[in-house]
Amino acid sequence: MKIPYSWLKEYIDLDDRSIEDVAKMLTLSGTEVVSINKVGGDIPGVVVGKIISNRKHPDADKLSICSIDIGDNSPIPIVCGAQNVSDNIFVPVATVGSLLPNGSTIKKTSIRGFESNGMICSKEELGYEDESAGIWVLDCDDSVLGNSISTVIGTTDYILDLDVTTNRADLLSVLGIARECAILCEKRLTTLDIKDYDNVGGNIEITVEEEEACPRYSARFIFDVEIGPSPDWLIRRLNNSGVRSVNNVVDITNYVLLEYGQPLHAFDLDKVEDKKIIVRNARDGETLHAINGSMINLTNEMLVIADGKHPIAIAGVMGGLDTEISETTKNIIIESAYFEPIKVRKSSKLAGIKSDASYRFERGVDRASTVLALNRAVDLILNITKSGKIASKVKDVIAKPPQKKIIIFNISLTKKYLNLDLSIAEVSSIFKRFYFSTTQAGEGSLKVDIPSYRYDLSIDIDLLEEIARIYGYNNIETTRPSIKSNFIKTDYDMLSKIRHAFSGFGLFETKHYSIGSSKIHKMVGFDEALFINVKEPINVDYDILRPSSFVSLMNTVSYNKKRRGLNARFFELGNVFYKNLNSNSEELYIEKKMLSAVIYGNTIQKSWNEVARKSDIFDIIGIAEAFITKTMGIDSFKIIPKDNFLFIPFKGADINIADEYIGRIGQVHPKILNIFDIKDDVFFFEIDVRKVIDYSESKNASEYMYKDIGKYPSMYRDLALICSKDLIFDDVLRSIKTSSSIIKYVTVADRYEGPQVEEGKISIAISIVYNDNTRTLLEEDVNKCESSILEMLKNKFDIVLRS
Amino acid sequence: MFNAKIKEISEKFVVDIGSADTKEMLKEIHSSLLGKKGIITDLLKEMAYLDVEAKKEHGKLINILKTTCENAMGIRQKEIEEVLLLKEFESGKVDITLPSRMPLSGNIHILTQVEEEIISIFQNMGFIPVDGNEIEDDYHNFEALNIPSYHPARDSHDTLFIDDKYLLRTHTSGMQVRIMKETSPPIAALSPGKCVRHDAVDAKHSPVFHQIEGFLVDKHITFGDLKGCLEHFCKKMFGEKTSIRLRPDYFPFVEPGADISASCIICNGEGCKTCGYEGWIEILGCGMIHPKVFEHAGYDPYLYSGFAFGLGIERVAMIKYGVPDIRMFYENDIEFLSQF
Repeated sequence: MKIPYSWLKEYIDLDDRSIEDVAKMLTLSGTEVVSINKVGGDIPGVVVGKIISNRKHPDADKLSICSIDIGDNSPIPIVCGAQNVSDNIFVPVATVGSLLPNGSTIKKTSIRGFESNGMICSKEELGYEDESAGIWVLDCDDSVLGNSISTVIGTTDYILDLDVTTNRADLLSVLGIARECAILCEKRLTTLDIKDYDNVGGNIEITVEEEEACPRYSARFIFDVEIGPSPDWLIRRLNNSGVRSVNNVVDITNYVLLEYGQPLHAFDLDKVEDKKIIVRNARDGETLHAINGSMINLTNEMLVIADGKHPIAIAGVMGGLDTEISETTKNIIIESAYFEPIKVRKSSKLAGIKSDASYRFERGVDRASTVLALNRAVDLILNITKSGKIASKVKDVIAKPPQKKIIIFNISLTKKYLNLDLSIAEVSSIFKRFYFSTTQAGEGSLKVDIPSYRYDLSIDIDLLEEIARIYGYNNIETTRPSIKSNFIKTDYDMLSKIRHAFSGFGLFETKHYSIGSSKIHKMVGFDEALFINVKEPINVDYDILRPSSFVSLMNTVSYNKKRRGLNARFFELGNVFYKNLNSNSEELYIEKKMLSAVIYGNTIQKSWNEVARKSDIFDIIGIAEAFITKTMGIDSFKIIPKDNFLFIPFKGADINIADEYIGRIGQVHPKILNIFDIKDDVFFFEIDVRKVIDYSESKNASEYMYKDIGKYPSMYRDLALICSKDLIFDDVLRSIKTSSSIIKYVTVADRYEGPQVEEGKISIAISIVYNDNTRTLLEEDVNKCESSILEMLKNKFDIVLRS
Repeated sequence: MFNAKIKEISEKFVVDIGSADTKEMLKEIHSSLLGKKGIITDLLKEMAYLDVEAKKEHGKLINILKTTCENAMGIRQKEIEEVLLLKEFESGKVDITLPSRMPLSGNIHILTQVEEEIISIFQNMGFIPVDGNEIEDDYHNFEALNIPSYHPARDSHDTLFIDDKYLLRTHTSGMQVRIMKETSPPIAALSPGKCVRHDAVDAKHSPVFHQIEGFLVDKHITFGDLKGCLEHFCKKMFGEKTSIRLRPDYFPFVEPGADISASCIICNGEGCKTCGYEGWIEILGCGMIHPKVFEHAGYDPYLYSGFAFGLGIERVAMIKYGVPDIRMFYENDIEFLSQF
């Protein structure tokens, strides 16, 4: 909210302190002053000029040589460095001798060989803003050439830009801020003298059908008003408050809104059918052509102001075009009402219109001041338009009388919450500063009368905040509690450990949006039935909750391949979401924490001492396996080859732990990579990380107890075998491993397929480590074990020794 | 006379041994001294003709000669071996300033790093972090936090709904009542995580962002305790010299409400571009938990009190690491990721 400082000072004397002090005081009391901007005013020597010609400096691209008319028929030359120089624009010109706010004096000078007798100024140079992009272009005409710039920009004023918190509706006006200042610096408010006028008689019927939604409706009529432009001071004040001038009557209603925080609306009386005002709910099917030009379809949830026939305004939101004040308007009605906040908020949402009026009604205006604001407006209209006759007394329909708001405040609260020992007298004197009257209500309690404009105060704790504000948050003593918690359940540290493990595996952690595009997910092949749609999405790229982290990671690969090329390995620990298609479950949506990874390019980089090696499926499986078996200490990791739409046939698999599915892994299908414009081998997995954590935590103590490492030497043997190509070799290795207790490790040392072996067969070398914890193994022990392995391999898998 | 002869032999051999360059030369010297036809062997043979007294005398001198030469050969042997070894090393010389072979190493995202740093400070105070769901219901995200429907505070929480009841959480504060209902006081909990608001994307705004919510509930928790804990946090996070400033602010689920600014870490409060020449940077929103929230949790607001606070992780990361654009956190450009 923008407030001209000069306006504020009409209500409170602040001459004993600087504007910066006032701003700091407001900021520290909870109403942040975001900025203070200077407008208007004179700077000695700075006059209005006009650029009559300009050309580029022959030796400097960025400089222009301008000829400036400052109204005395002898144009002056000025060399200017701004980019927005152009002929026939009006600009502030600092003539020779002027002293600018930044301390510099303008002298006659020569810039790279050209005479320059002054400076064309930017707002920054004149102290009107912190940073300017170019010279200040003034809005004026030849008649003011050579005049001091205040003839164009007005006398000096400062605009306070305030950030009013949503609870403090009472601060959404000049008067409200003045009142807050008065409380904070213990001063009195200046009261305005508002004249009342005799009326000439006239009547209009006002009916309030919706008493809850419109507890008070005040109005007055004025005949023979001359509609025209507003005087300069009014236009400038509105502009400085961020409001555009329309015409004198509309400007005055806006002026009073800004001043009192009470929204007003003026109707053209002659356009109001049957001379009737009815406050009622709209009827389904009714429409209103609003002042902002939009056609609004009304519903019976919206409160409207209607005449004898149609709605003429959405109550508290916006008026209609048909009854708006135009140049031909003669007779007017000024409305000053109190509409219920929730009702206005509903109407505003349904109509899709926000206005200065709805903003204030939603937060709560002072229902006690409708008539005051109305009279202020009438006084201004008669004075400013120099026309008009008051037709009626104030019509003030109080459909529902207000209830007095009283809060019982027990002073022990100050001790409980603020650790402050305050007496009843001290608390009561703080409340007096706020214009709250108090009476003692039993031992240690005060009965506090709350003014009608303080919507934010409803319970004792709200008053406590007022005491804390006056006492000063920063003056309250700092203490450190001893912290205890019954709440201890957490897997945060485990998730953190997993991230660090992946960083150690050489992967970079990435972060992604939880929302994504249904179109891309469909193209990839995700099942549309699983998508959770976002109502009113930000845009089409974010219309669903992502059902997988796959698309997020492919986008990251694509982004990095385009910019950084080569190779990378990424992971993410993030949530995915999908609909629960199991109708027996009460849960509508499933949210899962997924650990996913993607790698592409080389696993080993080419270097002076290294041969490059491209990543392959075994690199990605290795990462998953290291995570599950090493980081999480789970032995029963298993790759189950299985087709999956994300992956190339034969290069995709399920990841299981002890026969339970926990994720999928594989080489991404080139058709899918095309969608992301990726032309390289990409490998991906995603794992339901909570399942892994649960599994790891469910292990029995016996499973992680120390196992005897033995002290006897191991024996190493290789077996060269011939077997069928289609064998799942994992089964073979597991069978060997479990065939004897003296077999410690089994791995594949070599693998060959080609002309040396029979078609459909492969040659494979198995390395086996034998060890017995209880004794030194003998050759014959190992021989015996080896022959039983061979027999088992022959019988179970038709694997034979290579001859 | 014999004495002089031995001395002569000794001197000659010590010089010969010292100038032997190879193991082979040393071997030759060894055999010319101690071999079958070696000088010492000859001398010993000659001793047969001497009387007892002279034998004793000669024997002693020969022994000294033998020991002297053997010692000299031993030393020379080691010297030659060392030279040989050095030669071997020299032949294997390589420029070890060439690029090394580093193990593959990845990285934790800067937002996680900042999150973990914040969490660990509060964890050390006794707060317990817990991960929450991003799909939240209207009740926990708004109603239970004293933000009924049609409350103007909902404007600043422009919400993405997925149906009439469920939404994407707009802050992590929704965990407050969830945790309170699950446990009984005292509670000290933290809830970090992703939030979503209907916001346009630009350098300062992101529809998806991360927050950490924390709260403490017990008997006798005061506003001073809130200040104490959060001041401690700011000092740990931004340096011991950091001071804090509180300002009244409004959040419907706390009263009194405040925001906390820390003295600018760049200029120490002098005023610079980072702090907008204010000397202070807004870090946290906080306040005493509103009685309405306790009512929703089923706690007696007259028995318990507590404070809650929330802060944006992106904001802290941008301030602490000077990241100029919030979008960079989600682009996952490897050049960016690997900087931290």
